[in-house]
Amino acid sequence: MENGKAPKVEIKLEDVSKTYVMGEVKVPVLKGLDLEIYKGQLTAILGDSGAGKSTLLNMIGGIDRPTSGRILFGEKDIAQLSDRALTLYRRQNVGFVFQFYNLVATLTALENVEVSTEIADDPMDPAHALDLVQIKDLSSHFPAQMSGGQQQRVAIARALAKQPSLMLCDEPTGALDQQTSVTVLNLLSGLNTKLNTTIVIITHNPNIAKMAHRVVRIGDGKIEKAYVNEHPLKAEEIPW
Amino acid sequence: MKVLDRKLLRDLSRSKGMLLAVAAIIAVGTGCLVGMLSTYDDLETARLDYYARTRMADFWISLKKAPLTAIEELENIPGVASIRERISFPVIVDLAGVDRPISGLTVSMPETPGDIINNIMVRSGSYFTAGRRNEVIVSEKFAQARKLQPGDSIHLTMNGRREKMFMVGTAISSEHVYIAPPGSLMASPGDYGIFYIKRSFAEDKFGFNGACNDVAGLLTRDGKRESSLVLEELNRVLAPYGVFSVTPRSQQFSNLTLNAEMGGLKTTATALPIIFLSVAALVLNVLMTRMAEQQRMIVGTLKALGYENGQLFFHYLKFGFCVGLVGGLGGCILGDLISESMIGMYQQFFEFPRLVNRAPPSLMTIAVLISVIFSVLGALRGVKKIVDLDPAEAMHDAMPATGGKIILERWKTFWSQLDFWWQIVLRSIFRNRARTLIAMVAALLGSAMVLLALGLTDSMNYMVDFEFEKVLLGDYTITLREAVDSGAVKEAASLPGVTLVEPVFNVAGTFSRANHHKKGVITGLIRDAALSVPCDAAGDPVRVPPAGLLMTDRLARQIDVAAGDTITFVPVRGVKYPVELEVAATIKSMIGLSVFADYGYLNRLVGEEMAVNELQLKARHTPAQTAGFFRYLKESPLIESLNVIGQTKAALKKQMTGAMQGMAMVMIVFAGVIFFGSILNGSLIAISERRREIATFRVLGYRPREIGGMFIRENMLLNLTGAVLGLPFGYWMLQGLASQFTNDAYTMPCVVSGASWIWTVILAVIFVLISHFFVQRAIKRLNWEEALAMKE
Repeated sequence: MENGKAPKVEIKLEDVSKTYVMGEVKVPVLKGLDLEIYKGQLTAILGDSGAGKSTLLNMIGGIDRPTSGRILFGEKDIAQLSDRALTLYRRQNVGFVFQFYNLVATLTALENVEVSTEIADDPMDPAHALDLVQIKDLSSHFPAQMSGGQQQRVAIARALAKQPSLMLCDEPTGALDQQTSVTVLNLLSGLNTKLNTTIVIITHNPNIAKMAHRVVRIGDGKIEKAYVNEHPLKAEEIPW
Repeated sequence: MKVLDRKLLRDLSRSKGMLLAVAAIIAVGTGCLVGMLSTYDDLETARLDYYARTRMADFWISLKKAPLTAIEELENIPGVASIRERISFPVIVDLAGVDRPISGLTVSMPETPGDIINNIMVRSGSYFTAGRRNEVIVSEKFAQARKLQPGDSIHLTMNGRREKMFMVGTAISSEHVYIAPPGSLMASPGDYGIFYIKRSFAEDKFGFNGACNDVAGLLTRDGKRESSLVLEELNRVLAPYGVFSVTPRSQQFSNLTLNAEMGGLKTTATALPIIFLSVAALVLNVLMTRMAEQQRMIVGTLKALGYENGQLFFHYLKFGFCVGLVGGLGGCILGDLISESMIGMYQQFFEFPRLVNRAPPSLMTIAVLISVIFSVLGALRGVKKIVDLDPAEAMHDAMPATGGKIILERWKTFWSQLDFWWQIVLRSIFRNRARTLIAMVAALLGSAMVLLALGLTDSMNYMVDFEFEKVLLGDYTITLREAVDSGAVKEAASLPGVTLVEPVFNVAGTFSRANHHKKGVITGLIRDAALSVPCDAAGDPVRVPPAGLLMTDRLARQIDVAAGDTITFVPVRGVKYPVELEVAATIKSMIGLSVFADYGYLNRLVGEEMAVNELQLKARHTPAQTAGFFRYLKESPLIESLNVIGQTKAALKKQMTGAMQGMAMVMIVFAGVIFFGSILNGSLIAISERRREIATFRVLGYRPREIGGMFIRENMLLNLTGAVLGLPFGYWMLQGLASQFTNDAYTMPCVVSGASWIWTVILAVIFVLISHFFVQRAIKRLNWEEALAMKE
């Protein structure tokens, strides 16, 4: 609880299930999952490979729909939205950071951020977004001219620039070395602190989860455990 | 500029090799469309303007002799707007420094210029003056070929007498846009001229005071609607004066030749672009489908960021748009060059006062629009595939392609004999069916085009060789001014160097059966004629029946007769009443609507005995004998025209070979663009997709050339298969084009030599090898170390 008040719910999942059908084979990935993500918190979703973390992130981000259940963003059940409405939801409310950055190779760092700001309702200045992630001097560089850590910072700036209420990060340090990972994680926690952006980080690394306000452990498509970190660690304090 | 548009431009730049290859195919297709339609438009504009300015006749009537009073009455016939009478006769031209007699045609003109039917346009010098009676205006192309200028003197043998004529000018005439010697199909500027002389001089020299033998006229608007009835009435009214022919404008030789050429142009202008643009659309389809795979992660990301399907649809469709635009604009430039070149070629054969390349912007706009439409349609499937990607699914790499056994693997004996390179190649071919099919279709169309080009040359050569090696076997054809007795044969046989003379008797008239009527000529040949031999389409001599007619099947179809049927023939000379004749046999023939009969039989039919109006000669001359022979003919009052068969053949070959070879080369280059564009695109896409596989081979120690062997095997197999399948398709296209060039004067055969079939396949191999040079270069340049380091 913050200042004695119960934290507001940013997004709520009620009895969400997801089953993939591959020919005659049905693969249940999420099984009746209930979860609340609180506003302004840095939440880590922890689980082994194949636990359903990415699927859960896709549900929250409106990239995929559940087979059953509700996903409430405010009063809206985004699971029932049309494709068009879902696109609008993502545009207005969600910022994504991917494990392999997913930058457009033929655009510069600044232009990659502009990809996001051109369609946002209330974007920040792209240059300012790059400045926030401390990479403004590489504005005119192409992804091929940047290291992994630099590319990930551009990806974070891109997500951030549209000023989303929710930032979803899928293994943001998965392709990075330790030092760079620390830099990126510091950035994310800094954004959470300064801008009060709700951030959800998917990770398989329990040490990274130690820097989150709240940790949700997922296994076999269900929430195994959810707990609060009383004293979240700083990125440089994480044991690697 | 929006950031996605910047992405578009940079993505285009990255794939510029492949996209330019597609754009090149589009450019060739659009270029053909613009070039040929523009040329067609230019010819049509020039023709309409020319005909209007010179009051080109709607009909021509050639007759024996009619009084002018009778001609004046013709304007009273409903449907006839106006009439012009003329005196027109073949002449022999005697030029200083030229041994052989040259044929020509005199046409009478009014003493002073006026707005007459079939008017001439003076191009140099002047119209007739009041100074001399014996002034002549010479057709421009003849004057240029023979280096004649106003002020020169020439001699014309008119009505058996040699006349000195004073040249006052050169001129062109809309009824002679295309000039070819009688009996020949090809223009030969220096071998046949038109000579315009004063009417008063013509009256005097030909004995036609107050008479004429040629009528040209214009029809009223109603007359044009009912032209066949009007012409029938004209024929009936003039019948007493010996009508040789009634020719509507549509059948007039010059106009007919121009029509045939323009018709062929229009057909080619439609067919060729469709081929090229279709291939481009197919290749672009492959390219965009590949792009769908390459950009799935980006598409997923853009969708995750909130881009709508519509935005992404238009973004990727712009790729097709840009390729179509570049190709279309390139095609407009190419088309202008093609048009310029074609106009230059036509200016050599056709006489127009003004024939220029206009390159109308409206046509270019339409051409660019068409190329953009084809490109966008080609890109559509791939773009849809991109847009239909589920964002969650797009974030992951595509599922691996199906890796099962292909059908050939069931044939174990065969499969085990193949090395692994061939196994890779065959699996790739069978697993990528759409891409395989498109590559084969491109090769099929490319090969069809090569065969069409070579086949056109073969067909033209065959037609010329047929005429001069099977039918006309003599060295000279002498046409006499009028029918004479067989003494002319003896006289000709006595000329120096002449080894054989055969008499020919031609009778003009009208063939009729039920409602079908056709004017034509029966050619009477002696039994076992050796110098003028009717042949069937296979080139085998056909014996002229002792009685009845031997008719070409085209004429037989026109008047609806078959062998054994009886027709009515009304000769123009001799007995002018209808005679019933049996069609003893029909033959397929390429040239003209020929009808043959036995020489004696034909003579008897028209009440003559051993009459001759044409001589076929065989000769073996020394140079001195040749000079003597020509001198005699120049001075003979009996000679109307001389055809030196060897020279005619050589001129024909030179003209046709030059034109056809030029066109064939261009078409082969265009076919090469199809092969090149398709192979390069397919191979570069494959290299991009299989770079990790290539990198693996490099790590294992394989050289780039060995890896390239994999690609050339696949390309050779696909393209040779397509090329072989394209052979019958090309033959079918040749048949279609040949039917365009069929009229009363000739039927273009559809002949492809054995060498051409083989050369088509050889050229396909050469195109594959040329393309492979660039493919090999791309393999060598591939950064395989980076490819190995790429993430899954």
